[in-house]
Amino acid sequence: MSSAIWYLYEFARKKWLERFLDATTDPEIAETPSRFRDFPEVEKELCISCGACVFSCPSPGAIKLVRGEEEDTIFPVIDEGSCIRCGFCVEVCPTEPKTLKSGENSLIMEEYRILPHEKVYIADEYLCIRCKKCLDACKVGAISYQDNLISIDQSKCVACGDCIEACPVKGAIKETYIINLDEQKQITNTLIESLENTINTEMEKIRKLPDFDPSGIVKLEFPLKEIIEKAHEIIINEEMILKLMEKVTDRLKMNVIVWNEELCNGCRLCVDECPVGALSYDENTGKVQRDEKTCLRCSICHQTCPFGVPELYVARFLLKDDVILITLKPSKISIRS
Amino acid sequence: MSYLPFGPIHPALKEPLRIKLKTEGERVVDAEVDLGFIYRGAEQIARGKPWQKVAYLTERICGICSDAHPHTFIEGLEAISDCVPPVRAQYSRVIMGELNRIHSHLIANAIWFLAVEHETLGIYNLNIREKVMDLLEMISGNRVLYSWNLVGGVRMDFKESHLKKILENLKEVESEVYRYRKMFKSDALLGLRSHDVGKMSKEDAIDVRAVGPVARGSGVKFDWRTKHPTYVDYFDFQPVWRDECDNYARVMMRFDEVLDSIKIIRRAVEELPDGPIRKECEIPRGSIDYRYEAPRGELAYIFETAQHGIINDITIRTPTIPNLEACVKHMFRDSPTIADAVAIYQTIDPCIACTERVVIVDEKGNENDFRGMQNVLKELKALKNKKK
Amino acid sequence: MIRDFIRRRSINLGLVMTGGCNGCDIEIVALLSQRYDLEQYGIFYHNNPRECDALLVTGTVAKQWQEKLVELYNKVPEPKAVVAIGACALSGGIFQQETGKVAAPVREIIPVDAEVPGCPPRPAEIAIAVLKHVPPALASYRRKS
Repeated sequence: MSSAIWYLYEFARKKWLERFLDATTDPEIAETPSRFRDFPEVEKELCISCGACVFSCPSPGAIKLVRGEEEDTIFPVIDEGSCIRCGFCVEVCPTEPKTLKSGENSLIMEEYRILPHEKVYIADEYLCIRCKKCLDACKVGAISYQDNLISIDQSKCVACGDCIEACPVKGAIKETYIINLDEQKQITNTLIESLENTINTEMEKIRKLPDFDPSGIVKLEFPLKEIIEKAHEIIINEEMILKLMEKVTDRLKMNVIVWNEELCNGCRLCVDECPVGALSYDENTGKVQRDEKTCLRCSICHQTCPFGVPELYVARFLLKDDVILITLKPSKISIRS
Repeated sequence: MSYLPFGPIHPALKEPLRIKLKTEGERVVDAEVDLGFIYRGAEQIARGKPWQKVAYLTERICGICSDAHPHTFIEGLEAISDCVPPVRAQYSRVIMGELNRIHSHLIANAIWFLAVEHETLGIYNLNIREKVMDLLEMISGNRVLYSWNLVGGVRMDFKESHLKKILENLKEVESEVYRYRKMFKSDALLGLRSHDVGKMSKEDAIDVRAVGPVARGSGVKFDWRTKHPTYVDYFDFQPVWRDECDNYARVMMRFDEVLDSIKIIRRAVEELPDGPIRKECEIPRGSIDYRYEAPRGELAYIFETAQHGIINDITIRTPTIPNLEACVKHMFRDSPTIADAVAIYQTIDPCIACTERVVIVDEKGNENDFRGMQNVLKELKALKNKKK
Repeated sequence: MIRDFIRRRSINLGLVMTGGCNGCDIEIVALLSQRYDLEQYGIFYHNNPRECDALLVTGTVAKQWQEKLVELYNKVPEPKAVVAIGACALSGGIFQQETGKVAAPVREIIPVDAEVPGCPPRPAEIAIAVLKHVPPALASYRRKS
């Protein structure tokens, strides 16, 4: 009985009647709180086209840098179909105020580096000429000049590469990939090995060198195509491979030892001098043998031998288009008399 | 004897999976589970990616326990780098984790009530869950995927108004959950569908390694939160458990855990210390096996990092894998009707999106390119031996 | 005309989850609650493709689903409409990467009438999209020869 009275009381109320006649959802369901991470809004004028947002986006194809109609305007465009509304691009945006805005994520101050970098930029004290062009080129203020030294603050750097373009000296700012270090090592090793093999196959040509031109040089070419194919099996990123090869060829200096066995008299002066024991005396032939695998190419035997059995050449490399140019010339290290 | 397949698309199932029931008349004798409909390859995508991106990916492994996945992953990374986040950050992680647990348990119960066709309680549960979802959206900015945890702390700080709103909404949730619990306890029809249906004894639960509310409903007194540093240091946490071992126990477990979580959150909000919410951490090379109590049970992340926080290899073991086995092996056995089988299946709170993990079977015993859990565990053992 | 009028006011939804993280699915389940109350608009949620008018497709279409989704679409009675929900269904989202095993987007597999972006979209966004796009799509549906 009491429940029947309750029902009567409940249904006779004006509020209930109003609700019954106007049964629609509250409009508040479409309201979002202030922290709601919607699709990021872009303010084109503020963008410095550093690419931090594109690089940090976990969803591929959600954000793209697009060139505007006016000259020199590049800004990010968000594809709503791919965007996962994580707000990470907003957090890593280095401009002040932020180019991208979404909820309160834009208020997160970048006290600590949360941007994942693939590359690190380091200024070389030795090569730097202190022209300070990079200071103007850097749009996030990561480069500073103090005590006659240029230094790059890694926590502010967005790895855009503008400083390298502004730098007039090749190699004064070094760009290094810090991912896939083991794979990079593998590629470097295979490159050096195959370069050495090419030199070894041309050994006869080098041997003849002193005969016709004692001060001359030998020029060889090494096609890049094969080695790049090999490297692709280890790393997919082509730009990374080319940068790595360029760096290796720029820095590499290789000593080449040519062993003229017929000149050997069996005096065994060199055997004790060798620091790794790569040389051994063969009693049957009465000559000294060299083990190529353990040899360090340190040139001590070249300096010791009075008969000119080990000849030393220095090879240098240059990457040009799709070949590596190899230049060999006789070393100028003097022979101890 | 006949076979009755249901799934991958079926009114009773929210997620694709096929269950083959072996029946004798109405009685279910045995069952088989067929998985693999929504395998996406999350582990392979994670390899070679920086941790920031992998954290977003782990969140999207499961949308219901979407705080538990990044929580485990990030705390694993912190354990590798020996970095303890500030106390305020630890407290905010607890608050987020428990809110996530409440919403997960409420939707699990709602779906169970819908599965036994008790729509009133189902819709009530969904409705009260909206209060919790509002809190989650207000705090983190998204209803489902929160992106809350970072190595060394959390992303955003609580405001005073947020804390006030949390207490306000939770008060409402608590009183409503008490009411629904009472309704569930006293309803005769629900009692028919839940008491003594889907029995799994404690021995069986331990035997199939059941985890989470399913194991605790069978009397296994274990919860990974009793070993979690924050819960040990700041909350004297005691696991809730029951010994009825049936559907009733498992549904009741979830209501009890919701009430327990509300108490934990209330305590965290009241004792919330001041201070920073983030700290800088450097992630070295290393590997770890880290576990945390997700809403559904034990969640294990076994992974290996290279320098600068790049993930080399990752293996994830989610709670539904053993629970599904427990359901098929022990609970379906002697289920009186097929309708009860559906009810039993929903009590384990299955999450198929979690369950679709990599299983690599190599016939020849060759080392596969996926390095797998055993290999990482082997290395971990070798490391431990070295330290000794 | 009467048929169209009635069709607009009674829509049965069927949910297909083809991968993804469950996030969009629980948002659709949340639509059942009193707060959103889809049924006041004449929309009924029933997870049976043979009875429904509109399919809600969520998730990255995993490789195993690619053919099954077409089969399922053929089983839906005519006229029919498809709504793709979430970033995963629209483009594959975070899973559309070199090593991911997905066949998204959905629109390349079956015809899609409406798309709801977001990861996940809010329930209100889903409700608005369903109300706005499904009735006209059903009305303008032409039987394919």
